[in-house]
Amino acid sequence: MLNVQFAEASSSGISSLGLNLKGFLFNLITLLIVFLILRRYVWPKIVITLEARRMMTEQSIAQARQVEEALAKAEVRAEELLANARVEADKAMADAKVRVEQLIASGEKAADERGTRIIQEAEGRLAQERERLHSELKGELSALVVATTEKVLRKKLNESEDRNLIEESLKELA
Amino acid sequence: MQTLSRRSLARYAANSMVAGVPSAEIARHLGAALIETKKTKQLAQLIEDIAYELEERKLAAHAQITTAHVIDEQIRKQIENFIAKQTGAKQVTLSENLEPALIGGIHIETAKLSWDETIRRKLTDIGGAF
Repeated sequence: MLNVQFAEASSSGISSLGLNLKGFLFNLITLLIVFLILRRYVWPKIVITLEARRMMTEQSIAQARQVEEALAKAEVRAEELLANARVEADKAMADAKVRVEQLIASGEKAADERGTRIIQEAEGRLAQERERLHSELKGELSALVVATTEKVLRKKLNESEDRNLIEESLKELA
Repeated sequence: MQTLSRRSLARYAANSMVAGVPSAEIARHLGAALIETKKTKQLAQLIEDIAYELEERKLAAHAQITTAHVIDEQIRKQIENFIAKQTGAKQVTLSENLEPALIGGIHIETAKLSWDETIRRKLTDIGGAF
């Protein structure tokens, strides 16, 4: 009877609008059942999974932020280190320049001293060589004088003159 | 056994000559002493020592004369007189050597004294003076 009434109503009221009330209710109940099943069994898992993914995403974002911050800090630190390194390098360069100048100066001084010593030694050797040559020359000259005198005397001094020489010598000695 | 020095032998020889012992006997004694003391190789030195002793005692002087040319008798006499005056010896004997390398002048040498008046020595002095 209900069906009849419902059929009548549908044919008369809603059915006149082209809607199937029965089918609508059936679909609604089915949808509710599906909804309840989903809510009871599927939805919590999906929520948990989504929550886990959200947390993971948030953790990833936080980690990314931390990484970014660490990177920023590292960049700052690197800049600082670079700046310090530049300062130290400039200082080292300045020190090295001063040291090099000192070394050059001391090297020039040592070279001057060595040069002076070499010149003095050379002068000493030259003087010695000059003295040696002078002595040799004197020796050769005296030998030449003696040899020449001897030759002359051998030619000039005959027996008679030698006799006179001996006589004079004896007188002088006496 | 007392060893006889060459000097004491020379003194013995001089004393013996002064005492008038014959030369042959003195020579025999000296020879025996040299053989006994095994000093026969020192005969030349012993003769020099005897000459020194004789010259020291002004008894005799022996001079070695070296010249470049032969000397005549007059020069020889002058040399004897010179040596007698310098040494005070009563008796002077000479022995002569010729040495042309001396060029000229005279070199006299006795047991005690020596004179070198040669041109060779004077040239050497000149060379040394340089």
